[in-house]
Amino acid sequence: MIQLATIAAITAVAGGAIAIWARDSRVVAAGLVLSLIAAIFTSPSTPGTLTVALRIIGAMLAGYLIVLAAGSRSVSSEGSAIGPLAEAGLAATLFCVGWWAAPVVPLAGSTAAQAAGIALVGIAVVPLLGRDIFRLGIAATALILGLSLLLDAWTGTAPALQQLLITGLLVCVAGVTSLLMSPSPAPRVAPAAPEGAAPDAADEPDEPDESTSVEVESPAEEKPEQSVDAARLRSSPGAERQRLRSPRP
Amino acid sequence: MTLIAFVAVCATAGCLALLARESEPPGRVASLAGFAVAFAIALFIRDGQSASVGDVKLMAGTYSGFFLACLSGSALLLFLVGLGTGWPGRLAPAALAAFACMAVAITATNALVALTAGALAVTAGSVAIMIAGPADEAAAASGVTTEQTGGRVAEMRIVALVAGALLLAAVAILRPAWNSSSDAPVFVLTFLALGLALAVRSGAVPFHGTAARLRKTAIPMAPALLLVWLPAGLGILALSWSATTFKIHGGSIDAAVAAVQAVAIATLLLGAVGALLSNELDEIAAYSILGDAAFVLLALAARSDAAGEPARLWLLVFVAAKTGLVAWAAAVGRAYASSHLDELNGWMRRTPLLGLALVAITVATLGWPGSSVYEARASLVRLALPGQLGLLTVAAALLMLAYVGRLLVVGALPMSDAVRAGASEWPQRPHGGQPEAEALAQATTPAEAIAANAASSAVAEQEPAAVPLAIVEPPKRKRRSRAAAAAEPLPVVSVPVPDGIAPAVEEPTATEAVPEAPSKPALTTPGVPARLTRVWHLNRTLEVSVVVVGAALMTAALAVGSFGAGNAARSGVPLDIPAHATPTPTPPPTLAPIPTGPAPSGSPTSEPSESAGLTPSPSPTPLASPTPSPVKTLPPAQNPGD
Repeated sequence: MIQLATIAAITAVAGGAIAIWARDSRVVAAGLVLSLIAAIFTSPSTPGTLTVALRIIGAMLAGYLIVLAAGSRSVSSEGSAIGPLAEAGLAATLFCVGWWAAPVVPLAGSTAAQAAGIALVGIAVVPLLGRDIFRLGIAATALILGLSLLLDAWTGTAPALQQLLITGLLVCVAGVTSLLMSPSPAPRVAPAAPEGAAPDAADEPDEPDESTSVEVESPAEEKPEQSVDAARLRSSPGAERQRLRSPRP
Repeated sequence: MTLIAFVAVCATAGCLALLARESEPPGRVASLAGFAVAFAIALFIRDGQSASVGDVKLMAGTYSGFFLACLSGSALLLFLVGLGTGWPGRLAPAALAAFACMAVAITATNALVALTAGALAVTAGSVAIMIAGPADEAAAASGVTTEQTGGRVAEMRIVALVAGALLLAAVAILRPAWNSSSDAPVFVLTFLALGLALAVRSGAVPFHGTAARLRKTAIPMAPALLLVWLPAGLGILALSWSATTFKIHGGSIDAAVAAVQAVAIATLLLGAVGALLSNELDEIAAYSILGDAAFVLLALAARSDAAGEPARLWLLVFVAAKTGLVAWAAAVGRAYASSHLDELNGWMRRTPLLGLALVAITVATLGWPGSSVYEARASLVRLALPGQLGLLTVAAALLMLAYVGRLLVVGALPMSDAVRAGASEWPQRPHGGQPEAEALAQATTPAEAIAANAASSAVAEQEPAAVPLAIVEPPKRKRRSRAAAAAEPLPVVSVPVPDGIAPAVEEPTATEAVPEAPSKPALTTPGVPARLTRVWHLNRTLEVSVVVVGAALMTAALAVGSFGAGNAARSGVPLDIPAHATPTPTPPPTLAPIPTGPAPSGSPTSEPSESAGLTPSPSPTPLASPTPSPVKTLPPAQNPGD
């Protein structure tokens, strides 16, 4: 009979993989929420009601933060760097490795949690090497979730305060991702410079990298809803790949 | 209860400051009140105070309270300086949230809770990078710049790396029953991860680029949080148990320690060299901070209980002194609307108090042979490095003296145009002030004559710094710091003077006839106390300088062990207890994986007795936390069946 923990572990990995390779931000957020919620039930013993409620709320909040920052501007990125099939294959392989490996004997938690933890940590590595802030944030969330599952598996179910802190950490990473991928704030009215003061060369914007600076709303534009380079990027080949892509140094 | 109060105050004030970030006065009030109340509460945190949250106990110690007081006090002074130099926006809520998490981290007796709270603190503090500083506003119309994007990517990686490393470290300290012949690889990996997290967060040399570019990628004063407060908290967490957990010797762990030593040495020397070669005050401060952060890495590499006390004392001084340095850089940048050293010739002539502050910060950081801080630095070098490298203490001190001396020499040179046009700490004379007299004499147009006349009569009542800016045309400058953009516009002579402050001065209008000869209005000379009061209230530069000097002098007192810092450093944090109860790894595993009874005599469980002097022993129930007895194959912090 398939146990709940096993189903939850498979769901958590599937959600994490979807979040890693999906292109649309809403799908990414959905996968992330699915993974975060499913991870709660990978423990052999069902956690308390309060803990479950807390983690579900945290998962919803994390997903909301991602959608709030990315979805509102229809952000989509280039998705997985190694392709969805390779991503799925990697996740499945690591899950099997985690299922059959026995680094800790006796295991304090469940084998399913260990397998899910190893798989999530593994699939998070590749995006962490990239320069896409959105992907980096999702990967960081998956990494922390995977490590928390490994801790559960190796050292037993965490106490309530630890669950609270892990939930806070996951939400905080999602929040930081949301903030870091947001455009710069609209320029405020600069304080009046002293009369006769020379224009400040240091405050001049750095040479804008036209091919890379994207997703920035310009209040000076006629259409402030659109990003500066969005129209140009859409009209150019490979525009989709450029969106939300960070510049190369 | 005080501990819970500290966490609650920081969290509440952080939320309020975040909610009120758009409306400046409420946000400032919430932030400053939060830091002030948190500082006051931290002063009352005493050894043995505890609180339980679920089945986890938070236990305060002398050092925990001292460190939290040092953090919140430094933040309070920094934000007071920020009132005058430009309010650093979202730094306050980020700092308050980080402090709340840090308080949990350094008082939790459960290692997993402590390390997770530490990761949460680092993550919360990263919000400070979100709004870039000088180039951001100007560049908002054209897009996020490459540097800003690079900074954000780097910060995201740092968050992931630090959180991952701390959770991995929890594995090492909880020590599950590994099913391998030796668990040394786990400890090597954990040691490397922990050293990497510390190095990356504190901006050690291979990763110093992000730290040095914070001037362009982060909000003002962000280095105080990202490079000082957070690495210091991480250092306490790492050092509390690294002495025993990593006290193993072998090929792999020795190689890992050598790598950390190399990074520390490079950071110690190249950080100071970077400060010596840099021309931007913010970069000089950043390089100085990351150079001195190398001592935390040295303490980690020492793997000795003897390194605990000097490391804890050094961390206190590090927090206070480097926060003072950030405040000093902001104050100088604000006073002269420039942070470029080439334009700051003679800065010390107009702001001598800031010169005094720089000297005090340097003395506090370096100390002198025999002083507490000097001995702490020397001890860390001696314990972490081979004997022939002991000269690094002197070399690092000389390099710091070199770049501080360069700053002081530049400050003593003849004044540059930017400095001459900048604000001054000196109260200006009511009549015949040199700049006003010169301007009046050189007036060639009616408007200039009116302005000069008004300036010469009203200067005694206005902010002295306003006059030169209003009369003398500021020279063209190539660069200007973010402090200039954030600073409030300096008042000009056309600002109406309140009746209660200044005697009525008739302001000429543009349509008025130019007086034949500039006549000075009859001023009723106030008394000395009243004039001092006016100078204090109207000279923002003096206010900022006095706060910076106060912070620097307190840092110097702290560095010599005053205020009980020396005694506090002798005790550890509660995390020491489970850490020292965790046995060191034993390469030849001869024990059965499943324990059947207490550990035999002579097993690693006897390790804690070696460090009894470092643990917060006065605690009445030191092992009342869920941490069980340190048997090798039991997960110490949890009940697996729950």
